[in-house]
Order: sequence, then structure tokens, then C-alpha cells
Amino acid sequence: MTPAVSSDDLADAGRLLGYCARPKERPARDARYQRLVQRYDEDAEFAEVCDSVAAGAGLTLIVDGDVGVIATAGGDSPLRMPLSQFMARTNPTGGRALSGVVLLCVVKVCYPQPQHLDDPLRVARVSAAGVTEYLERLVARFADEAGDPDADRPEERELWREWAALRRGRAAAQRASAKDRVGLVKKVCRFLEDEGLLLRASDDDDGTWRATPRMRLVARSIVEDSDLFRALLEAVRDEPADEIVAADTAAVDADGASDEPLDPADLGSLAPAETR
Amino acid sequence: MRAGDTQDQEEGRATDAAACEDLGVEVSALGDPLGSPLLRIPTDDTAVVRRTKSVSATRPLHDLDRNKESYGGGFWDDYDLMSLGLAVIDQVALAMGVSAGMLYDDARTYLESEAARQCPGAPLEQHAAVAARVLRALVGEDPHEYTYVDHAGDAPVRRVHSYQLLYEQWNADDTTHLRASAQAVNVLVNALDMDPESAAIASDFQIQELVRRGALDSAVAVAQTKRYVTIQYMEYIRGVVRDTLVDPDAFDWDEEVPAILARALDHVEERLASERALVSAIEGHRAAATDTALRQTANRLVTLLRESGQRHSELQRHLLRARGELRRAQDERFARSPGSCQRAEVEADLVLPALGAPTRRVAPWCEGLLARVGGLHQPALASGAVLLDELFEAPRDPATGEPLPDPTFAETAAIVWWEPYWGLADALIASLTAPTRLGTLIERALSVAEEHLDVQGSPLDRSGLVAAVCHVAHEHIATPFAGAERDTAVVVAIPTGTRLATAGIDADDLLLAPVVLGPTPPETPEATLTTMEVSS
Repeated sequence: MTPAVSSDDLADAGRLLGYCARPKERPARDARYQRLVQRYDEDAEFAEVCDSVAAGAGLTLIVDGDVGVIATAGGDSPLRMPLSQFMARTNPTGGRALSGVVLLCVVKVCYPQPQHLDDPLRVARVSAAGVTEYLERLVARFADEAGDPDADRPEERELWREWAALRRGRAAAQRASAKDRVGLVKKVCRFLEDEGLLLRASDDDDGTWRATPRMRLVARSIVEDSDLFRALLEAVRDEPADEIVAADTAAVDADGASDEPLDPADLGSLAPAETR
Repeated sequence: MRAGDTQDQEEGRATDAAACEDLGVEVSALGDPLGSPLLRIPTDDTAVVRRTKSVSATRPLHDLDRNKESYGGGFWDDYDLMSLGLAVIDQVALAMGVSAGMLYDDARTYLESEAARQCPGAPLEQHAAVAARVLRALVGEDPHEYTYVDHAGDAPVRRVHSYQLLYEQWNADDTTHLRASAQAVNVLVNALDMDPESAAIASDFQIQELVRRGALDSAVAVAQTKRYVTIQYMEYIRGVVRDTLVDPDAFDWDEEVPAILARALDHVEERLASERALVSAIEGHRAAATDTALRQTANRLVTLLRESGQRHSELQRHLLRARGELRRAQDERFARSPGSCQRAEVEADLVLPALGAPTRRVAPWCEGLLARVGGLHQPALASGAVLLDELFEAPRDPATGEPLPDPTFAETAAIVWWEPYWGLADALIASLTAPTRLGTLIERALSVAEEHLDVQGSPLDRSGLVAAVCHVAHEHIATPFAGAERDTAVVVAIPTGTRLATAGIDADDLLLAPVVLGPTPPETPEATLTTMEVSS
């Protein structure tokens, strides 16, 4: 039997969703917000209603007593931020794809150890120079191992070469362009600042930010999302994950193991390590 | 005393050895020249290790002062960085409650003003640099570390003791405040090794005894120290609660955690009761006192005790709340069995595969990631009536000091008006296949202008196009071709000595010749000649 949902419940669910669009509001400063977050926390049926309404719009809710409610939009959600808002279509694909990687690097620099993601009191700091340097190191590692790209197959050019092709940018330039390395990192950081995930601390090291508690929850949702990981796996291997699963299951079968379906997150050398 | 043993000495030595064994201290086999046994304190004696760790907490302050030469600027000798560091720790500790502390900016302002007192007349930027340096040394992103040798196992092991002096914490309104760690308070109160719980009890007794004897001055001194003891205890309890919340699995929920909480609550209640008793005892003294100075002292003592009482009742509330929080954390653990949630490692599982894959394939995934953290960004339009009202509303003057938002301009994909002109001008120059006079090229431009449409759909302006052609040529004049790669197509222009016949343009006529750069010429003058021949 489905639980009876009153129109008040639905109105409350709508209000909670409304707060998703106000990233800088906090429950501690708004009694109504606080009541809604508390209700979500304590009333399982209400939480289910909210989650269902959100899921219908392609959103996933993260609710935290201190931070409030955060909605992350799925790839096909009509409410997701259009990418043109971040970077114009006229920009080369490389620049836009690199922004995603820069975002991950910001997460890594903020939370170098997995347990940092669980510590609500830690104040992480991140600087544009620090993130650039980190990405620089990773790309240098690729450059050491890889040879020159295949001239006949430009579509196989790897993403790290896009970073290597970016201009280095002048040191401490006031006006950095998104077409040089530090400029791109700064652009991503400013974007995260607008979303209430970073907070400007100073101009040192090409801009230093503190990561807000909201950032921690978003970062955690990224690393815990097995669909996201599965999608990357598909993109990297250029075939649907089901086929990868089938192929690997076949291999396991040959070894005499059970034929239970595998979680794609368990696959191959790319599988995430268990945190516990 | 000589080495020749008497019965008494034997007995004395035996009791000494027994006492030492009780204390867990080894007795050396070597007697001293006078025959009395030598106590050998091992470096891993617990008290020594504890004190070593405590002493190491002063190191950042020493480093700050010692490294003055390396900071640059030449003015550092005018400041006493160590006292600035200690004073700011003091200031932060006094501002601390269970969840509050001193705002980062307040701490900086405080340091700037103190620095200004140390070196009056120096520029403000200099004080600001000093304040920033002191805060950075104390707050630091990474904890300070000290390595010591641990003898607990079979072989000595080097262990790292890490600590912080000041640390940052979030407020509800997205500002951060600073808090002093337990180690910092340790350094500050000059008690390098003590158990905060018993220290609190001891200071209460001390005050009680001093008040009973009427020594209120001494009681004030003790009460001042007691403040720090309270803060230290608060910090200790906060640490316990925080560690438990971060990793509930590491604690024993049946006995250990409830016992810690119950003990802390008992302690706080005891302190509150004893403080209340002390306050009423002092008030009795005050009522009986005729001396003004004595009354003032009594008032001061009451204020100090009330302050400490406020901290204790805040801590009591924190503890009561912590019980609920811990229970919730525990419920969550039960709902989610260990290992049921896997986490990707950002670098190994996400960044490296994405960087190593062809851009074309991972681009959509990377872009999706941005959209994901981008939240909701398609605001619905307000109804017509609301929109009209808002549009007609008179602009509001920003209040003084209110920051004006920088206007942001959207990057649009729309074509700008000059693009068709530039495009056609480039195409005209690229179409040169044989040496052509500039006059001819301009004629050609004038004739094709009408055949092409601009962004609004009307034919291109003829003189505008001619101007664009000239401007494209200018760009090429400025570009040095010395380092240009092989096979770059360039146009060489040579004056013909005649003037242009086109109306409205007064210029030399030029002969334009398309040339493709060849291999670097050998060091002979013929090479230059060949190029010249081609162009003429």
C-alpha cells in the first residue's frame, strides 16, 4: 500500500526543492529552511516524496543538517545547467573537457586523503597555482610515457595533450585568459565560487579559496556515484559497459566462478579501492 | 657515605629499588661513587614523552622568530614575532566557546594593531605583512610535525607527533573563525603536562580554600588560570566528540562512548555546582567587607567565576546534543553495512583515466561533471505582471560600502558585424595565385562587395570592404616572418612607383606576389635574389 501523501507534503517538497536554487542560504539562518531539512531527516515518508519529485525532474538530493539541500542534476535533466553558461560553444572541445578534469583536480587538492571527505570540521584550502601544479605533474607523467601522437588519427588525441597544448600563461598575470593553464583553473574555481562550493580567501598563489562544507558533500557524491564511474569506463573503452561486463563475466566463468552479474565498478584495473 | 655497606644501607637500597620499581623506573646496576643507586630515567618514560610533545608545541613560535632573516624586506628585526604569536593564541583562546572562536579577520586586525604598537611610524603594509606572516605560521594548512623515538616495541621506532596551534572552522554564515588547539592552550598556560579534568577540580578546591581564608587576591590569580583550564577541558571534550563522529566504528558503543560522555557530564555538573557555591561564598565576603579594594577584588573574582560558569553550561549543552548526534551517527552505520559503499579514488580512478583517453570520447563525460555541480540554472520566467512591475521599478541606490557586482558579459555564438568583411578580405588575399597589382585587387573587391551579404542580410559596404583588405595587409606587415615555418604562404608587396587610380584612396600602387616560404636558404646572396626575382 502506498502511503497517503497530503498536498501539504507536496508543497513542502516543492519548498525544499526551491532551496536547491539558493546555494548560499543556510538552514541555520532561516527557520523555514531548518524545519524542512529537519523534516526530511526525521520523516522517512516525506524524504521519499521529496526524492521522488526530484528524481522525476532528473535531480538527486543531498540533504545535510548544516549545509542544507543540494541538488545534483543528471546528464539528461531538463533543469541541469546548460554548459554554454560556463563556456561558449565556440570554445574548442578540449578546453571544455579539461574544465571537467580541473574540477576533479580541485576536489583532489581539497581532499587529498579519502577520510578528509568524512571530516565536517576540516577547512580545506585550494589555490589556482596549487591545482595547476598538480595537473602539470600528472600530465608530465603521461608525457614521459607516451610517444608522439598518431598524425593520421587526430580523433585519437588524448585529453592530456590538450592541456600540454595550452599556453603556460604569464606568471601572476592579472587578466588570465581561459586559453592558458592558470586561466582555465581560475575560471573553474570562480565557477565553483559562484555555486557556493568555494569561498575566496586571498589573491595569493593566483587566487586561494576555502572549500565550503557544501563542497565536501558534492565531492563525496562524485566519488560515491558508481553510475558516474561506469559512464567514464564506457567512454574510455568506447563500448557499452554491459558488453564490458559480459566480456569480463565470460572470463570469470571460464575460471569456474559464479555467473552473478558484476557491478561495473568492480571491473578491471580501474575499479575503485574499497574505502573500508 | 662510603661504599662499605652497612645493614642499614643495604635495606635503604632495597627499599629505594622497590620504590623505583613501583614507579616503573629502572634502577641502574651502576652505583654512583658514593654508593647510592643512580636513577636512570629512560627517554621513553611516559612523562618524558608527554613533555617532549608538549615542548615541541612551542617550536613554530621559535621558528617564526629565528627565520626572520629569510623573510625579506629588512624590517623584521623591528618586531618581536614570538610575543605576537603568543598574544594572538591568548586572544583566540579567550574568544573561544564550544562552537565559536575569533574571526580570522579580527585576529589579523588585532595582530596589525599590536604590530603597529611594536614599531610605530612604520607603513601600514609592513604591519599587515607581519600580521599575515604570524597567522600563516600558526594557522598553516598542514599540521606541525615533530618526530620522536618510541621504544614500545622490540626495536625503536620513529613516530610523528602532529599538532596544530590555531585552526580554522566554519561558521554558519560561511565565514571562518580561529580556535586554539589543546596544545596551544598548553603552551599558553605554562603547564606543560597536566590532565585537564583533575586540574579543573584542583583549581576549584584551591579557590575554595583561598576564599575561606579570605585571601581573595590570590584567589583571583588562580581563577584567571582556571579560565584556561576550562577552555582546555572544553577543547579535549570537543576533540573526543569530533573523533567519534568522524569514525564511529573506531569506538566501543556499548561501554566506552557512554562512559566518556557520562563522565564528562558529571564533571561539568560538578564544576557548575562548585562554581555556584564559590560565587555565593564570595558574595558573603563581599557583603561583609567594608574595604572598597576588597569589594572590587571580590567583584572581579565573581566575574571570572561566572565567565567560567558560562563556558561550563555551554559545554553541558554541547555534551547533551552530542549524545543525540552520536546516536544518529550510530544508526547510520547500522543502516549502511560496512563496505556497502565503494568510493572511487579521485586521482587513480577518475583523473588519470580521463586524461589518458581520447578527448573526443571523454569530452561529454567531463562536461557532464561541470553540469552536475552547476546546480539548477534555468530559472523560470516570472509572470508578465510581475516582470513589468520589476522592470519599471526605479533603480535602487547602493548603500555606502555595498559592493557593486562586476557586470558579466555572456559569451555568445552570434556573428559580429565585421566578421563577413574580414572573411571576404581574407578570401580575396588568399585567392591571389599570380602577381597582381593592388589596384586590380581593389577593383575586384569593389565588384564582389555587392554579391555578399552582411549579418543583417544587406549587401556589403564597398568602401568598408576595401578598408578591411588594407587592414588585413597591415597585420602581415607587423608579423615577423623570420621564424615562420616552411610552407607558410605569404604575399610579398613591392612598390611599382605609380599611384593608385581608385577614387578616395591616396596611396602607392603595389605589386602583390604570393610566395611560399622555402627551406632556410644557404648563406649566399643568391637566395635573396631568387626571392626578389620571383616577386618581381
